[in-house]
Amino acid sequence: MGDIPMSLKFMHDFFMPGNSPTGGTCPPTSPGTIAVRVLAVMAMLGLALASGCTRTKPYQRGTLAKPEMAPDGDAHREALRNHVLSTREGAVGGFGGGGGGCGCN
Amino acid sequence: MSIPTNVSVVSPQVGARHAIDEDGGEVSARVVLDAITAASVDVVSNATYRFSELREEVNVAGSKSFGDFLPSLSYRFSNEPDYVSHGFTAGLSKDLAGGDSTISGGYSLVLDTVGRTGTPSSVFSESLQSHSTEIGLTQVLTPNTLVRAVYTLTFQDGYMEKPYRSVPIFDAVALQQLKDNNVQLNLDNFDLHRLPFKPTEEVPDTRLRHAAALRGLHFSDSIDASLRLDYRLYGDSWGLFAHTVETAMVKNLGKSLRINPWARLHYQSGADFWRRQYAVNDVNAVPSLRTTDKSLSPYWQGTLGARLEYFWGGWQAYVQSAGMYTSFLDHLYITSRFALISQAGLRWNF
Repeated sequence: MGDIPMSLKFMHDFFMPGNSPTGGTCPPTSPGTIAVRVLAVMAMLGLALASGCTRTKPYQRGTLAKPEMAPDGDAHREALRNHVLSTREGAVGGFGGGGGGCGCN
Repeated sequence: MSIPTNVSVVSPQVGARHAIDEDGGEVSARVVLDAITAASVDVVSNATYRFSELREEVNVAGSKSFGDFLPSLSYRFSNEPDYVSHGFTAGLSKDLAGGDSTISGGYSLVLDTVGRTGTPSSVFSESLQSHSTEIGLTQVLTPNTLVRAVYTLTFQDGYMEKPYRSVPIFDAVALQQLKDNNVQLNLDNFDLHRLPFKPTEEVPDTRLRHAAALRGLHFSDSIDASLRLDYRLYGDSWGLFAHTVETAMVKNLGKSLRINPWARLHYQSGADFWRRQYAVNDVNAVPSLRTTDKSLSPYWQGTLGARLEYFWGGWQAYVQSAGMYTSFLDHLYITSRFALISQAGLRWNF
C-alpha cells in the first residue's frame, strides 16, 4: 500500500512534502512547519469568515441560543459519539477528541 | 473458513448536569458502560473468533463564565480488562465582536496503560501518552447561521500496538508463484501459505496527527430544525490521510421530544507501512514496521444514525442507534463489516 489517492495528494504534498510518495523533493517537513501551515490556513479562513459578517443584535439571538444551535453540540452526546467513531476510524480530532479507552474492535 | 463480521456495542449511560450561569457555565458527571460483542479479525490468527468485553467510563466536567471568558476543566477515567485510561482536559473560550465571534483553545493529556487479558501487569504492561491541543473559531454569519473552524494537533508517544495482534509473513517467491497461478491470498487460504513464525505487530512509537475541520450550522425556520454539515481533513506522520463528511438535523417534536438523524462518510488512505501482506525474501529480514490493524488500512465507511431524546421535568432520556458499514479496500482478512452501535441513557439536569 502507501499509494495516496489523487484526492488526497494535494494535502499530503502541502503538509508533508518531504515524506511524499508522489515525488516531492523537499527535505523532510518538521512538525513545527506543518503546524504553522495549518494555522496559516486556519487564520486565512477565520479572516475570510469574519470579514463577511455583520453584527447580530441581541434581539436577533433567540435562534442562536437554542441548544440545537450550540456550535460544539451537547458535550455528553458528542464525547460518547466521538469515542465510538474514533475507535473505528484512523483519524481523530476536529470536532471532539477521541476520548480514552480502547473499545477498538 | 469464514468468521461472522458483525459488531454490536450497547452503552447504557447515567448522567447529571447543573447549569451554574447563563453563559455556558455548568458542572456535570456521567457514568457509561460499553458492552462490546464482536468477531475480531485482529485475533483471528489466534483462533479467537468472537469475544465480549465491558468498558466502564466515569467523566466529571466543570466550566464557569468570567465575563467574556469561559474556562473549563474535565477528567475522564476509562477501564477495560486490558486497558486503563486517564484523561485531563483544560479549555478556554472568549467571545469577541459582541458575541458574534468566539475563539477557543484547549489542551488535553491522556495517560493510557495497556495490558493483556489473563497476563499479570508485572509481566506485561505498556504505556501511552497523548497530548492534544486545539484551537477553534466560531463566527455568526446571520441570526440563523454560524460556522466553526477547528484545528487539532495531537502527539502520541508510547505503545500503540495491540498485544494480541500477530502479523503473517509470507515468502516472496511463493507469493509470486501464487500470483502466477491467479491465486489470491485471503482469509480462507492465507494460513496455508504463511511462514511458520508469527511476529507481533510493530508500529512507530510516536505519531503526530493533524485535523482541520469546518462546520456549518443553520436553523431553518421553514422546517423548524437545525441543519449541520461538517467536513474534516486529517493527516498524520504515519502517512495516513482522510476525508470525513457528516450531516445532521436536530428537530424538536413538540416540547418533550427531540429527534436527531445523522449520516457520516469517512474515507482514508492506508499508513505508509501498511501492506496487505508482508513478503520477505529472507526470513531474517522481517519488516520492522508491520500491522494488520484495520484502522491503518485504506477503507471507506458509511454510518447512518438517529438519536431520540425525551424530556420531562429535569430528566432527559435518550436512545441512539447507528449502523456502520465499512468496505476495506486492501485487507487480507476482511473485505467489509457491519457494526450496530446502540446507546441509551438517562440524565438529570438540575
